[in-house]
Amino acid sequence: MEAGLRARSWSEIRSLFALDADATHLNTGTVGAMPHEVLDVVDRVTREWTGGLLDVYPPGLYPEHRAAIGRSYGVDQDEMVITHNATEGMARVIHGLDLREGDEVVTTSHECYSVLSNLNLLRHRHGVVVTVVTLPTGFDVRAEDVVERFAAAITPRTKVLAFAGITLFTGTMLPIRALCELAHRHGLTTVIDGALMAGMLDCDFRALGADFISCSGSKFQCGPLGTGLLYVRNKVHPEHNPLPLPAFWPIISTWYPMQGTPPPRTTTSVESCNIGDFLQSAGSASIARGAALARACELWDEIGRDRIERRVFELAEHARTAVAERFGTAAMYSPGADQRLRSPLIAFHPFRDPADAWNVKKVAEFVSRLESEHRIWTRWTEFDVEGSPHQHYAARLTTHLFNDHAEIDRAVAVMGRLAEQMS
Amino acid sequence: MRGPVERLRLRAGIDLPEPVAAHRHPLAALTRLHARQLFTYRGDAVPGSWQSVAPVADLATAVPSIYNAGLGARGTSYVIHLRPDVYWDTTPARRVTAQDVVRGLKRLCTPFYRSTALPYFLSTIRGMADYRDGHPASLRTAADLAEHANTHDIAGVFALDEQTLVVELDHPAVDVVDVLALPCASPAPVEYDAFLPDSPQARAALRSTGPYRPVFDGGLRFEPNPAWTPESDLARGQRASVITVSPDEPTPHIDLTVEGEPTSTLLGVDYLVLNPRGPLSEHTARLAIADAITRTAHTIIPPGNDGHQATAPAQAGALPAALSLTLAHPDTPHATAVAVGIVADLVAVGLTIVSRPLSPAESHRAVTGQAGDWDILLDSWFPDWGHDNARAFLLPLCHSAHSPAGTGQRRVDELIDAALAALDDPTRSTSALRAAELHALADAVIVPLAFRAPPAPSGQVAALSALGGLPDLTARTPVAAGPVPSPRRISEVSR
Repeated sequence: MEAGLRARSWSEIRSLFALDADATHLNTGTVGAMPHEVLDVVDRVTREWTGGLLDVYPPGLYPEHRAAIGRSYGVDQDEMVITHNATEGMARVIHGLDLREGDEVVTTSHECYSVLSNLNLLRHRHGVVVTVVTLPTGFDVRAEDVVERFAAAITPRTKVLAFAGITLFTGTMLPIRALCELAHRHGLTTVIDGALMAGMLDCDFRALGADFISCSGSKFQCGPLGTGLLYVRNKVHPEHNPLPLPAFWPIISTWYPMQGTPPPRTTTSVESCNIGDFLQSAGSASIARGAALARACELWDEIGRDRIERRVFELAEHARTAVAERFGTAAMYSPGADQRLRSPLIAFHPFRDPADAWNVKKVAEFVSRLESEHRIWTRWTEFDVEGSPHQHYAARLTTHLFNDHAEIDRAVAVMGRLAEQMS
Repeated sequence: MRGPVERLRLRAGIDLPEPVAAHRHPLAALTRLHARQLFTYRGDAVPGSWQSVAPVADLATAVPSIYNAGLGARGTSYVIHLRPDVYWDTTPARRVTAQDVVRGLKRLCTPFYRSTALPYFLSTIRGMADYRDGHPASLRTAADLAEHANTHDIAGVFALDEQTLVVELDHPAVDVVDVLALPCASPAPVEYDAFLPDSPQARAALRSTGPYRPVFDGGLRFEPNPAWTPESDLARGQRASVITVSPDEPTPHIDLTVEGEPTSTLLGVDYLVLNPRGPLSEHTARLAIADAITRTAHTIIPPGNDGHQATAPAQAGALPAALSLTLAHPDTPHATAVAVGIVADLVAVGLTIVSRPLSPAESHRAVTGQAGDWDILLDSWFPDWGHDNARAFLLPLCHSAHSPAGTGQRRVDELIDAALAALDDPTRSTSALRAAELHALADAVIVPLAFRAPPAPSGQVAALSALGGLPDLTARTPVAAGPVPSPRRISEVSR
């Protein structure tokens, strides 16, 4: 069975998921759909550990799960942490950084609220300066445009670049490696909100060159809600990131030393401590959810992460083309011309009147009617646009491996008719 | 006053303003009886508690936030949904709409009346200053004004539909909800288009959204508004079947004409404006005046308000000989008593002082820079909201675009403007405002005299600290006897 998943058709793989047959799920950007098998693991492990007769603490460190998941992302067990969600991971990173008054963090206004919220807390608590860049939007945006915005915001006081690997509002895949190299040139720590990366991209976290990547386990990875992954760089591989490891305080930890200090952080490719254990040990854990997330990751390995990435992006290109044909490239907030910036999240303005882009009620109604009248699940997003005084709102669809071309075609056709009707 | 009464008797004037003119008006407490705003404050909160200064939804269904999708992450775009169950007391009753709110904000920009609260709006809401400045000088009539309003927009204020309003800001401003809670930001019904703002005709034709509606029958009384329901209003109640108002009321439950024991926990400031356009144009003369007067306050922002700094350096000056000056002050018992002390201090150093009491209308014109026929102006300023409120003192009093003196230091303006551009970062904005305050104090155009809590009327009534101590005649439950200690620090010198 396991060996066979890689050879199975996409329609067969679709049957692995707990999807409503009558529904079109185009909102993995918010939450994915669990495979039946993952659901079964949640149930089985919960029952196994109910009753309080077993020692619940050792399995909560998830040593085997972390090692296996780490391998899928090219990193080691000591660099991988199973968290409760991407937000928790980002918060533990942001507040674990050794930042002081006057230090600067460069980020974007298109970050998840939880990132901006935690950075604002840092600003108030420690006097850290948060410089917010507004990302360019639109079909014709190029990766160089993005890098330029970050480069222009860096000052001698900048210590951190914090950005989403893929923005949730416009579905822009930021040029991660280029931004990390920019950070390397300026000696900066890189913190990536990778909520949308895990389960979508077949990537080597270490090779991306970042210091921290916090992912969701329940979006593209299709694990249970309340799961996440956190990559923490814990050794120096100069070919990927030549900078020393940043000073980092693993806040929320049971096994951070209670006397003395951990060894100095390594300067080589051999770790000096298990920073992952420090972060993973945080009291009793949700063993069932961790096990289910690990099973979801195993399934991805069995299907083939390279194969999944190709599938997701092939469907996305199908959807992008259909949206562009139906609504025009001028209506698209998501990049399209530059392949490097494309992601499976596609945000666009559905209505004829451009001014409806700042009419939240109309955009929200559009998404709501897709659900209630056509059982098509998307979402609306909000973001600022360079040079516009308005907050813009967009409809956003997301493709994943369980979608197919026919339902995408149907959904875009329905969207076109509904938008016409509402325009 | 405790508990419900059949007939509530008030001693107060009867020249009830249109809401657009309610800011700092002696009868602003009566405006709260009949006019609701997008947001307001609860009169039944424990004085000094955070609830007493936290804005709550009034016409709006909720205070906009990122969490409820009412505020964009950039912090400059607010989406405000209106309650569907608030009505004008028209026949038949007509629902209050987002367009009514837009009309009210446009009316606030009128060239025919200058609100003392206008600086907050002009410096915050995108396009409001341009809209105010765009009124042609040729406007003469209510029809002209309505025509202008109906053909021009405030760029950052627009209705998405009857129940949804968008307010866009020039910069993130964490206090904009408080600004929109000011009574002068009340919606205006289409009927007001027939009248110039706060004209006698407009005052005689007021419409109500609150629990009462005014009735003018030679005198003034408030009767229950049949279009209002308690279910639609979480902040106000009807505690009397009728409220009568008369300046000659012999046995009032509440007397708005006298200044009773303060109950508001937020301090304001008595201050002087030394007119730099007259005999006090010399900096050294203004410093000498400031030095000659007995003062207990040495900063403009009182303790307990954000941005207060403990001390400010004093400078010595020198008076020219044989100066004769006019001291203008409100014709109120408190201001008159303070003016007597100032006259005594200045006569003692050889000056000749003519004291000139001002009517409320004259005082309003002087404070808004529309009348400069004084050398020294005495007035009081109370905080219009209760948190992040440093600018609520410095913007209206010290910025040259708004100050009573009609002038100011460029450096002060720059610092205040920098603070306004960084209101989402209290550390930076407060730092800039403190620096602005020091420059303003050194300039000695604004001279703080004493800190004091806003006066309360005689008779027990809740005070809304966040609205400058406005008495709340609509509070739903009786307030506790006596104030409880404030969580904010209050200096003993303020009492």
